[in-house]
Amino acid sequence: MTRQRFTIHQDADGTFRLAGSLTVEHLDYLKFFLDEHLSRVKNIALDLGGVEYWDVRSLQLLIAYRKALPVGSDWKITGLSAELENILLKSGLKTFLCP
Amino acid sequence: MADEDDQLMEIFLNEVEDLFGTAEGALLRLEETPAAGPEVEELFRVVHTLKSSSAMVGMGTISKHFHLLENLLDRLRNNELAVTRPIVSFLLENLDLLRAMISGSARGDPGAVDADLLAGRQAQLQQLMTGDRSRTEPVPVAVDAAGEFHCFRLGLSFRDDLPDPCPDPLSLLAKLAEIGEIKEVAADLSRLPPYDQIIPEKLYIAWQLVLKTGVTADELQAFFATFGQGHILTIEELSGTPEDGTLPSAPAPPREPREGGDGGEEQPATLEVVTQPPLEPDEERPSGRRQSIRVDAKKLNYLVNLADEMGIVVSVLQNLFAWKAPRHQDAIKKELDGLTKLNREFQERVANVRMSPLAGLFRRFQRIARDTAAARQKQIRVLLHGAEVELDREVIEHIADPLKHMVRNCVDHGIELPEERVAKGKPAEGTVHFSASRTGGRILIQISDDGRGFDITRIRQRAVELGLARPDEPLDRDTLLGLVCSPGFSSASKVTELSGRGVGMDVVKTEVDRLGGHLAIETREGEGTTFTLDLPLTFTLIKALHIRSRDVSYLIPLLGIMTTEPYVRGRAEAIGASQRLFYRHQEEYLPLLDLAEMSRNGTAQVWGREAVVVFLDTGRRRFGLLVDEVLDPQQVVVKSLETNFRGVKGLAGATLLGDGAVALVLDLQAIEEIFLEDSKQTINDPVVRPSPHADQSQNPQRRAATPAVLCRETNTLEVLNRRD
Repeated sequence: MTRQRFTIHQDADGTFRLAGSLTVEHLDYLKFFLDEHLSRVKNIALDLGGVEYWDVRSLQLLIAYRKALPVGSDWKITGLSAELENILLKSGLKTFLCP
Repeated sequence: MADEDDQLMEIFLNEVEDLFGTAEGALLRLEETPAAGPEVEELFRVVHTLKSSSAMVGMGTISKHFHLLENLLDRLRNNELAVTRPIVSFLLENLDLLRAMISGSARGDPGAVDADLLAGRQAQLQQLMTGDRSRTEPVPVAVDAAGEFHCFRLGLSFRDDLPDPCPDPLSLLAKLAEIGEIKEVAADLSRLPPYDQIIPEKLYIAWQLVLKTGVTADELQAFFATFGQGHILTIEELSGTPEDGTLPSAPAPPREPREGGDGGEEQPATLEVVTQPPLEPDEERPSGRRQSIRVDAKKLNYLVNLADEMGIVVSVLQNLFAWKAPRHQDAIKKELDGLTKLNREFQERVANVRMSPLAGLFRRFQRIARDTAAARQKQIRVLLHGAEVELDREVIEHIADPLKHMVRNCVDHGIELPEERVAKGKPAEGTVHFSASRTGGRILIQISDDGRGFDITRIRQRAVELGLARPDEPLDRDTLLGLVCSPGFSSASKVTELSGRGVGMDVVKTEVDRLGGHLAIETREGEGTTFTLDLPLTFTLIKALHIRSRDVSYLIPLLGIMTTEPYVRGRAEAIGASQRLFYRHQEEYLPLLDLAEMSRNGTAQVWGREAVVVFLDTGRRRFGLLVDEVLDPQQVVVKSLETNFRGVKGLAGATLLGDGAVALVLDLQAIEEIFLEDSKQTINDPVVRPSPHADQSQNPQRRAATPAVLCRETNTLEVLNRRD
C-alpha cells in the first residue's frame, strides 16, 4: 500500500505550498517544517490548495503553532478548498486556524 | 486427543466463516428494510449456532457474548424491540469483533479475547435492550415545532491513547451530521498545551455540540458505540428548542479520567463509551480455513461414484493382463478407452469441487460499499445479480482484495454526494451494481455505478503530468482509459483515507492478467462507469521460487526444492570421462546441472563465477541446479506455452510476474529426464557419499561407491547391479 505523500514547497514570493495528505503519519514532517522553516519567517503564508485531506491532529498542531506566534506576526491561509473549509466549520475549528 | 481437538477446531473455523457470512448478508438486507421478519429469524438461528459451536471448542467467553446477542435478536423477532439501523450497526460491529476474536484465538493469541471489551459491548447491549421504550412508555423529550425531533447537547472528547488506526474525530463529526443536524458546535481547546509542549500524536481537542435528530438517546448511544474506541461521550437531552440551547451554560466536554484523580469532575450523566475501531469487514477472517474447504455433498458423491467406476475398470484390466492372451487386446483397448474417459471426467469433477458461488464475495463488496458510503455521507443502494455463479476458489481469493479497491473507488469517487446528484437531476441515492455471468469457460464480473464517470480530459492531463503521454500525443479514449491502470495513476481530484491514492486499479489489472483474464473499463462522464473482469473459470496455481540465469527469469516449483546455498567452487568436482559435474552437499555428492548451459543461454562457466545452487528433489532423484540469482518465492498461475514451444523439454509453462515480465516455469521431472538421458553415457559416474575422513578436495571418483545410497530410483539401481 502506497502511503499518500505530503509535500511542502516554497514559492518565490515566500508562500509555503502544502500538498497531499496532512495526516498523523506526516506529523513529524509537519512539525519539523514548523520548527525549522516557519520559525525564521515573520509573515507566514500557507497555501493549502494542494491539501487533499487532513486530520484533527495535524489541525491542532497548526493551531497550536499559530497561537504561539509572537505578537506582530502575520498568519495567512489561502487556497482552502470548499470541502476542507466545510470540515473546519463543522468542527468549529475555523476561527482557530483562520481567524 | 490433540488431533481430535485440531479437527474440531478446523470444522469450527470453516463453519463459523460461513455463518458469519450468512449473518452479515442478513444484516445488510435488514439495514435496507429494518423490520422483524425472515432476516431476523435467520440471524437468530445463525447466532444460536455460533453460540453452541464456540462453546463446543472451549471459547466460553465468546459463546456467552453470542448468547447475549441471541437475547437481543430474540426480542427483535418477538417484536418486543424495534429493528433500527443503530441496532443493525451494533450487531454488524459485534460480529466483526467476535470474528476477530475467534481468529485470534485460533491462532493461539492469548490476548485475542478481551473480556473488558466484551463487557463494554454487553453494557451497551443492555442499554439497547432496555432502552427502547418507544413502544411501552412515552419518553418526555424535547421536540421541535414539528414534534418529531429530539435535541441533545453532546460532549465529546477522546482518550489520549487512541489506537491506530481509529476513526479521526473529524470523520466522527461528519458521520454525526448524517443522523441529524448539528445546530451548534464549539471546539474546546482548553487542554491544548503551548506549541513547544505539544505531543503531536496526542489528541487535545474536545467538542460541545447541539444535535437535532430523529433518533432517541439510546439510539444515539448505539450510534457512538459503533465508532472507534476511546471516545468519551456525554448526552444531555435539551428541554427547549435547538435555537434555545446556548453553549456557554453547557457543561464542559467530558475529560478523560485521570489515574488517581479525585473523580470530582465526573458527572452523573456521563456515559462512557469505550469501543473498538470497526474492523475491516474481511480482514479478520478466522484463520486456518484455507486448509480445508466445504464441498457440496452431491459433488462428493459424484466423485465417489466415478472413483468406483474407475476401480471396476482397473480390476477388469488387471484380469485381462493376468490372462496374457493376445485375443484380449481389443478388450484391453476398449477398457483403456473407458478408463481414459472416466479419468477425464474425474479430473473435471475434481476441478469443480474447487468452485464456489460468488455470493460470499458479493456480500463482502456490499459491506465495503455500505461502510464507504456511510463514511462519505453518501446514499447508495447495492444491486446484486448472478451471486449464484460459481468460480474457482483460488480465483476468488486472488481477486477479492484488489476488487475491494475498485468497490471503494466506485463509492468514494464515482458516486456523487446526494446534493450533487440532485443538482444533476439524478436521484439522491446512487446505485452500485455487482453482477456475474458465465459464458463458456469464462466468467464475467461487472462492477458498475451511476456516478460521475471518468473525466477523460483529466486523465489525459494526469497522463501528461506523470510523463505517460506527451502533451501533443494523439491518444484515443481506450488508450487513455488503459492508463488508469498504470501504477500510481490516480485522476481523483481528492484523495481520501479510503481510496484514490493511485493504487488499486493497477493491482486489479495485474492480478487479472496473472489469472489469464482481461479488464475492461467503460465510462460515460456524468453517467457512470462499468468495470468488467473477464476471468477463466479455473486455473493452475503453484508456489514457486523466482530465480535468474543469464538474465532470464525462471520459476522453480517450491515443492521440488530442498534448499539453496551459495555456490562454492571447492565443492564441485568433474567426474569420469564425460567430466560430469557433481557437487558436495552435506554428506553426498549430487549431480550438478547448470541452467545456463541447459537452456543454451550461455556457456557454462562454473569454476569462477558467483552463483547459487538450488538443491532439488523430484521424489526419484536429487540434484543441484546452478543459477545466477535466487529471488523471492511467488505464487503464480502457470499458463500453457503456445503450440510452438510445447515440445521444449524442461519447461512446464510460463507465467507473468508482478512487473509484467514473462518467466518460464521449470518442469523438474523433465529436467531430471534430461539429466538421466545425458547420464546414460556416464552411468559409471555414481552419486557418492564422501568419507568423513577423506580430504574434501579429493576426487570422489576414487572413493568406493555404495549402491545403497546411489539413488532411490529402481532402474538406476538395476543398472548398477548389472554393473556389479
